[in-house]
Amino acid sequence: MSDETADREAPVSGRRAKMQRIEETLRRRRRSVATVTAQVAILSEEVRSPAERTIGDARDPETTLGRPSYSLAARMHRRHNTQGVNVREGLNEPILQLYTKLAGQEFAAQHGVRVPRVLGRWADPDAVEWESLPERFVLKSNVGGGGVNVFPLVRDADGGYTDVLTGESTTSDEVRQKLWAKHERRSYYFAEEFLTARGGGPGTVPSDVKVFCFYGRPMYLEVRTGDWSRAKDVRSQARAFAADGTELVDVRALIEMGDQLKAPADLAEILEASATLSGAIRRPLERLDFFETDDGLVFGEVTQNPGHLPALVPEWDEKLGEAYEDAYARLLTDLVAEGALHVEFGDDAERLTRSAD
Amino acid sequence: MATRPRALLRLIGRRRARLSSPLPIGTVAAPVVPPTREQLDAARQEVAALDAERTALVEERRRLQRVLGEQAGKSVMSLAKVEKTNGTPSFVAGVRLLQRVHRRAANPAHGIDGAGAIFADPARTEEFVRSHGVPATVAPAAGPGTGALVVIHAFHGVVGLVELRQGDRVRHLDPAGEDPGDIRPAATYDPEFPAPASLSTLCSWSVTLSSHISRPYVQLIWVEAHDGPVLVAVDVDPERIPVLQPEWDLRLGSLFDSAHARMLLQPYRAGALANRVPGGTFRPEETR
Repeated sequence: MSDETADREAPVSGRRAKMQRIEETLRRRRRSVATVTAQVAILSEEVRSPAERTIGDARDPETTLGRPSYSLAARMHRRHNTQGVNVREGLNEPILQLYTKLAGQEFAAQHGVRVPRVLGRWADPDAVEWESLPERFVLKSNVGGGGVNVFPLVRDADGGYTDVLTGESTTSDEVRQKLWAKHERRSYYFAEEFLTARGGGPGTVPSDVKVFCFYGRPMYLEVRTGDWSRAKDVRSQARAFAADGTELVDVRALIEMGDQLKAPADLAEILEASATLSGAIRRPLERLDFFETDDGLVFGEVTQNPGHLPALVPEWDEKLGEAYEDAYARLLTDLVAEGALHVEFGDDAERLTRSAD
Repeated sequence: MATRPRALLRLIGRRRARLSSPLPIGTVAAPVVPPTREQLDAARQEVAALDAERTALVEERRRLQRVLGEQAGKSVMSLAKVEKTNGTPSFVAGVRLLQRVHRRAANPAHGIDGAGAIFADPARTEEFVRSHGVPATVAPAAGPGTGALVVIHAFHGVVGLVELRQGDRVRHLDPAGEDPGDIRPAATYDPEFPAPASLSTLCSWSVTLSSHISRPYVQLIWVEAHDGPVLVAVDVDPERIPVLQPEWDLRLGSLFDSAHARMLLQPYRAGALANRVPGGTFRPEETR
């Protein structure tokens, strides 16, 4: 039977149900088209060279100033760090001092931002005093990202542990081996309190709140969970928000987003802590991670160069690019005011000045 | 830039305009009265149109992923991988970024560091030049009309490119004096342009002077007079910068990246980039 005949002959309730199914299909299709449209918009920029992106459609390519771009700026800073540009020139950016987790947390604590309580600290995985630790704790290496060296553990009745990241049973020996596998010369290990998600059960790991900051101004944040490279079977989820709390749908469209996570419960507190910490880091951009727990906002870490730099739709790429350039201008203004950045006159000028005196 | 079907560009343009706010979801109201056959037909047609739109977009997405893949030496770049790329250095992108930052100053021509004010003043420019032991004459009036200009594109102590210009004719030389050919599409290349007799001196002086200016990139503009080189201008905020072939944009972009780091050495060595905590600067050694 054709759709037309079926429609004509369907009872009233049947047509209503049919329309509801079509509406649901329409809703999904619109959502999908919006996402792919955003992906195409992002990729259309990504295929262009930085020079092409700067010049755009300008009539005279040699005189156009171009437009701000977060993507180009953030990649420049990441390149400077990860490709050795700064090191070759003798610049050891102080933000890198905050890379190790405990240093970052000490920095936050000195600003009055709550950090996880440290339960113990050891030089190598074999030295961990398992018996001294409570029923729930998180064992970490001071270095490494992506959750590779992070083990939120709950002690089981049989003396083993449940790895809350993966949901699998494990033992202290297995954890030890995994930590040794990623051990570096600068590594050390520590256990910290097990943070519980706000409103969640006792073993619920809080979502990360990742705040993209621009020298004292948080502009864009994401709530993320399952974003751990060690938890292969856990589906990552994220929601993105502007600093005013507006949810940003299909703005960072190349990675999977979701709608199951809770929005930040206390945005004002997150923004205040982010502004304080970011304003104390003399760099135009960085990411600050927090946890919203049953015990309030807790600082996680400073990330100078996220492994995944958000590739945003053009409107937001420019908006955050604008925030970056504003931040860089404020930073340079502060440096100039402190006498730390200026045109340098040489000794001959000093001699001239002295002789004139 | 790769070409795209015009219809798809229009489609993307329309979609882009909607991206800043969440798209309407479920805009077809739940029917209170049973839908008519026409309404069901219209809804089905909309589904079909969206399917067609999505198919075209997915095809375009795949094409773009192939382009990105080729750039990275692969067949296709996954969406997740795009965010992990570092991008490439670019002279145009880097220079314009820092220019836009400095133009946020109260006086955009001066820049945040006031360098524009110093080099707009011939007396202060001469004082700066002398202070670094450079014996060149400083004479802004010796500019246009006095023969070919030699524009040294300098990256905080490193010369990246020498530009010889007279009227609309240009020729470029690398710091070793070699002519890379016609590398600047927007300019008229003249291979007969004679290289300046004092090229190595001009480069050496430009290295000295640019390394003491708080910008990663400046143009030092010279003319060769009978009695020696004359510095016409130090332009810290040039209106015109050369847009070069990709290989040269990358090459000078790498010089820009390094110059950016050298520019920051001044505040770094003064301790001004240190992380701040209440009452002072953060001392990481206490937390090791």
